[in-house]
Amino acid sequence: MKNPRTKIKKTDNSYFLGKVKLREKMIQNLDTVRVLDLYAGTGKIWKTIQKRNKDKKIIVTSVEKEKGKNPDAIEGDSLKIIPGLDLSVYDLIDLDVYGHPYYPLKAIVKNGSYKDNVIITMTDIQVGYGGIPLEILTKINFTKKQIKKIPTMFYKFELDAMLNYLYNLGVKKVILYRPVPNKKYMGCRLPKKGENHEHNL
Amino acid sequence: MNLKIEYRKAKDLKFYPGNPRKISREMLEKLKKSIKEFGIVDPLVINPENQVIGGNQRLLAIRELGIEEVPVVIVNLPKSKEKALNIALNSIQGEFDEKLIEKFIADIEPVDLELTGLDLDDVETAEEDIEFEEVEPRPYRKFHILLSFDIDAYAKQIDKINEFLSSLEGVEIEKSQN
Repeated sequence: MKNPRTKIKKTDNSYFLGKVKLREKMIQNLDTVRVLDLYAGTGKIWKTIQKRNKDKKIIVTSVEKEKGKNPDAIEGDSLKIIPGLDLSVYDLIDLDVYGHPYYPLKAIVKNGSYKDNVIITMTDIQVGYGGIPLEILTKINFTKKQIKKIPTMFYKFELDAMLNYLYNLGVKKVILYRPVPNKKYMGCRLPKKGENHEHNL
Repeated sequence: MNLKIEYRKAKDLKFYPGNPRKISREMLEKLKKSIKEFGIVDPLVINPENQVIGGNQRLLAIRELGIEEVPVVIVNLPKSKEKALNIALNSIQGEFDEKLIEKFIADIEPVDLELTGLDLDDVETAEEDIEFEEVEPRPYRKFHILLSFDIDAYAKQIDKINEFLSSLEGVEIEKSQN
């Protein structure tokens, strides 16, 4: 009997493949990769990457908030877990967050135990106009009052705000994939804390 | 058959005994998301004993969402036909033409696409379609001034305002009506 569930083969799946390919691009020079997947979901992304890159050894530590979603994952809220983690063992920290990666990234920076030039991969999805953290908008000189008054206007400044934040963290290059305007997949290397630009952190 | 939509309390409805359909947690979450967004726009089909002939997965989603009242259509059929209807409601359906649906969903907002329940995470796609940009992060060097006008006052002075703002060096203008 045919399963009536529909699968779309070509339409919007680049969203997922984009995520996979971005991560592949970021790890292309590594034979062994230790990954901290902080928003693992079912773990599909890294399972797919391992399947496609059999020559690489990919060791994934997964964290997932939702109970029962991923039996291989540590169950918990990444934002609460990050401050207590030893990040120094990971080559790549993955923030495939549905929403904005600012707060987990900020928590990682605050933790500070990551390797110099650790790879960070991020998913940045803006749903509606309230999804951009106020903090990154105020860092690019908007006031809270302005944002509150015309929230619809700030949507288009989101990438500038994020690039400004990454600049202040000392990031030199961002690999960006934008399948649609409100979805951005980003990969970069984060220099060790202490080498960052000092203002606006 | 004259169909009439009635409302029943979700807690009074019963799953159909031995219902052969099942749903994964992932699909159930999609269903919940859809119901949350659109409501229950398609009444459940029940028998006079409040057993759900069509809509058992929806009933599960409805209960998990804590929805109290549910639109239903009651059908009164012999047991054998009732069971046949249970299967028919799920098994007799068309399928998507991949080319047509591609066009059909092209202008649906990505956020709304997620409400369709379509599986959008299939890896079988053309890899060459994915293009990466290399961006150099840069400091943000703009300062923002918000000017708020009474709409009538703005309408009266629109030329004067535009002329003044355009005369300033390094100014970008974003307009919004809130």
